[in-house]
Amino acid sequence: MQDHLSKIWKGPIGLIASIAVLILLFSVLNPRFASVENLQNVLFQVSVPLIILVGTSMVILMGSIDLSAQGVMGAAGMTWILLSPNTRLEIDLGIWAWVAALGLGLLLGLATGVIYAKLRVPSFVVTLGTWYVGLGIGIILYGNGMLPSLTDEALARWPTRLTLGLPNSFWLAAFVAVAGALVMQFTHLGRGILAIGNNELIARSSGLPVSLMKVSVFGLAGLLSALAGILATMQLGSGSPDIGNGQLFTVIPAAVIGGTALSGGEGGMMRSTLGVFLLIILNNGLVLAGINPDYQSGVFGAILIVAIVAVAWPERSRLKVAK
Amino acid sequence: MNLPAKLREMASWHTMSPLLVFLAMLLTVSVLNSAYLGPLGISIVTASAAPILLVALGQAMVLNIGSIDLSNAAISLLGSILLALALPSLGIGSLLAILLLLTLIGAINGAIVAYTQVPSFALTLGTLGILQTAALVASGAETIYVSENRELVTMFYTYKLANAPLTFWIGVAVAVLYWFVLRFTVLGQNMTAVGKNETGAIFSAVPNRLVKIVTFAISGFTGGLAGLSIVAQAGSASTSGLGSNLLLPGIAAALVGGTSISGGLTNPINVVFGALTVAFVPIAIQAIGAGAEAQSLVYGIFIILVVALTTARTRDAVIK
Amino acid sequence: MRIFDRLLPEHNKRLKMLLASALTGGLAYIAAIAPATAATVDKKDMVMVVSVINTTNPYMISNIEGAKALSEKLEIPLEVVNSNNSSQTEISSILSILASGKKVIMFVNTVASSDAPTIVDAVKQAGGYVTIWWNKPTDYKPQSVGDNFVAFQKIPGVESGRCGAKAIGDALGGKGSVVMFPGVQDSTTSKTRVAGFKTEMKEKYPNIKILDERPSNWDPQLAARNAKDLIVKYGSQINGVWSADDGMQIGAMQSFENAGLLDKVKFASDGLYPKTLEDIKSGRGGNAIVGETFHRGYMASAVGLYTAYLAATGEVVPSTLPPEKRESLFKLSCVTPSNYQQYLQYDEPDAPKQFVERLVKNGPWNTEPMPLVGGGSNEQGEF
Repeated sequence: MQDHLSKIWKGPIGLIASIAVLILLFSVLNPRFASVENLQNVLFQVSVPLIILVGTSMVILMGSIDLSAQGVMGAAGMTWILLSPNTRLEIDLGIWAWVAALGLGLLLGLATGVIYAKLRVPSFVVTLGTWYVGLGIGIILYGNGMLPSLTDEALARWPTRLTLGLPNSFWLAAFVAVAGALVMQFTHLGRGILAIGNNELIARSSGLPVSLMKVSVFGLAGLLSALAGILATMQLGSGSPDIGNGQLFTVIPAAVIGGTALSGGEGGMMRSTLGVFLLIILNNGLVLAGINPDYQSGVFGAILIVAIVAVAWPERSRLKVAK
Repeated sequence: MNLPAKLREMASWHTMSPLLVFLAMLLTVSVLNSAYLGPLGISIVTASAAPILLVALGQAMVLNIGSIDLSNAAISLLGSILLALALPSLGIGSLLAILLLLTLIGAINGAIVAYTQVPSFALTLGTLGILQTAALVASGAETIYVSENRELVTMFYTYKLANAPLTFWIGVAVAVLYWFVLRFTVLGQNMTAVGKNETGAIFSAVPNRLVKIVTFAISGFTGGLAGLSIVAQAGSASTSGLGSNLLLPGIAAALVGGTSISGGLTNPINVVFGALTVAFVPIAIQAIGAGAEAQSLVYGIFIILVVALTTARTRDAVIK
Repeated sequence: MRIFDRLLPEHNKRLKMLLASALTGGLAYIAAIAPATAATVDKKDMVMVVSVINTTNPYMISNIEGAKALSEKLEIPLEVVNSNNSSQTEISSILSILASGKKVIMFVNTVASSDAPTIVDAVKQAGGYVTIWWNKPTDYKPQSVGDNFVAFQKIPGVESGRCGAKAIGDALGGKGSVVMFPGVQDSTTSKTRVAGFKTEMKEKYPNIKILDERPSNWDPQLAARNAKDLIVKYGSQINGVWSADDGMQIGAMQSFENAGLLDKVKFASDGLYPKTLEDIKSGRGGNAIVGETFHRGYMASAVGLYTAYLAATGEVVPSTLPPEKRESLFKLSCVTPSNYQQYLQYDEPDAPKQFVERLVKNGPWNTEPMPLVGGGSNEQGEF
């Protein structure tokens, strides 16, 4: 019975049930919660963290961690807006702005991956460094000039405009999430990630190109963080090196709550997605219920603790090593 | 072990590198302007380094057992706020009570990690959130100025020995104490055993759960001392002012001080140099004239570089 | 990477030790034989310092411009401190400049009120002179510290809040509901502006209801998010939005525009930032912005630095100054879409330079458009 219960809880059913309970609770506390407008609002808010999460999930599944998202977002976001129609510079490079920004993210990710895989610096440290480096690039790009705001109305409106009733930004995020799930499920890389996360030594000795895969995954994570940075910049309508503020403490708990173990090898894209929905709905519901914003981090923290304890409780054993 | 061998072990790259890195940085900057080695310069570096050092020491002890404590900076911030609130009415006794409370909070962290076997990263992330709310509620999102008994706490900052404030020397004393504990006590050796190989430690009847509780409690305790150093310098406490941003510098200082992120390798004395180095980075940047915008960039490159140079690497180990 | 391993092989610890010692020894040798200081010493041995909260906010950027203009005029080198929104960075950077041994003339736009005592004490120890702008602890008076704490200066917050309240109140015809976005909660700047807004509303527009207030830390992004949340919560009930500064207003307006509500709401704030000025000129959102206040960062920093400079040269002895010149309020101008044109001249490219010319001629308390208007006592609830 214990086993059965724990499997159910760990599976997506537990998550979906929790989300359903929250939606019910918040709708009672404030009927506006259940409105179409609010649903669109939630989807809008989920978009940026979800894109980051796809990359971060892959890194975590591999047994590493990625702290660099906020910095890469800042660097890529600033690059993109300075090369797009904005109030500071007269340039409009169109698609090349995207290429430059995404390229920068990819580069930062690949550099991270190489330092991690080849120089054997722990991922915690490298990505901490990349965070600051990305942030630094964003700050330097911002310099002393005036606020770069988007002058192209269409571009600024795009994330909020609705297609088939849902915000465009969500369509982008959903596309990325589905693509990520497909990569995990059907490609060599996806299976390799799980193998490395499960037991790297065995993965290596069975011939997997472990280093190459590690570098690729970090490159991908960097690329996705850059995409998230561009989207966030569009959403705000202006550039800022701090565009990524607060994302790290949304994305990592979302992955953990979604059941992606920080030790690697366990979890999945869909579950991470549910995790991020849970957190955003929680956040949104708290705001609408009129809870003092000061309490927000406390509520998040408590829920995170309850969630991870609930997941780990059935697995307890004297010899288990949890770091 | 005979003397030459012992000296050789001490003089190994890994043991000496944090000190050397700091000295190299100090000398490079002083070439540009020798005033940085003067009394004012030393008192500035050590004053900035003190809270970072204390937070880093707690973190280093937790990293030693292979876990991580993301909440210890929040513990110190809460401590500083509680101290600023309690000092006017309760005097110095409040300091002891608050240290006790914070040590208890740390112990709770440790107990949850030990008994529910959840990853410390996730748990302390959750505790961090709860403590942030606690700090906001306790301070009412306002700055708490120490209105009475101010000198009782600011003396830790103004009283200087060899140009360094008392808060820094408290940090050094704690570092020496922790080094001693790790080296020469059973508890310390148990901690390192848990960090190096927990399964093996369990089989050798090391009380790993107790070790975890004690280690996290230690982190809470040193966090409390960091809170003291914050109030000592600022004469006040607030959730958005001085001391609100110690988590990452603390981790960086522990890493630059040679602490291994996978556990089992910590030298608290080196963490002192790690903290001095981290505190010195903004000063170095200002001295070089790189402009404050470059600070984040330099910080990031620096962390990667230093850890890349000082990380002990064994051939087949899996780096996570 | 084999190259790396070859350079620093794990087993060749002795080689690494040798290299490290050589490096350290070499640097020590250079330090020993190098001339005493490598920095060029200005004949006055002074350095001007401008410390701002960040360099992404237009007001702060303007602070730096003013400092640059004065530094050029007085021919004193300038150091810029970018606090990156962190008190720790601010204090470390300032302390590191003090450690360099020069006599500092400093303008600080503090990140938090509680930073002021730490900074002032350090400047006093180093024998420098500092003017603090905007935020300091209430009971921390320049007179009790000494001449090194030359002055505390600001633009009245209460008046700013009242300005905004009046503009919204009139635009709404005295009836409706508004939401507020204060700045960093425990900053005196934010508190005084919020108090001014609320008082004016209560006294003159009793039928206007304040639905909610969401502190947004002077951050456009946070304000955008909070605005979105409030829009979902109150929808079309919101008729007016007041933000404690233009940075937050810009973020808030973005959210209202995204929600298609921009032309149904009236906005008022403080600062007349470049983007805000543009929006007023273009009549964005059907003239959504109804009230602003005019003051410029370059004026603040120039005045603050010049005051400190006069104290440093002895031309002014702070302890002999009347109270309103130690804790000073400078002129605030209320701006509306109908009178904004007269302020455009202060955004010309050479405006900071011209201001500095007038400043050096007339002194820090008498320079248009920002002369001294009051200060010294707490009756206005400003200090």
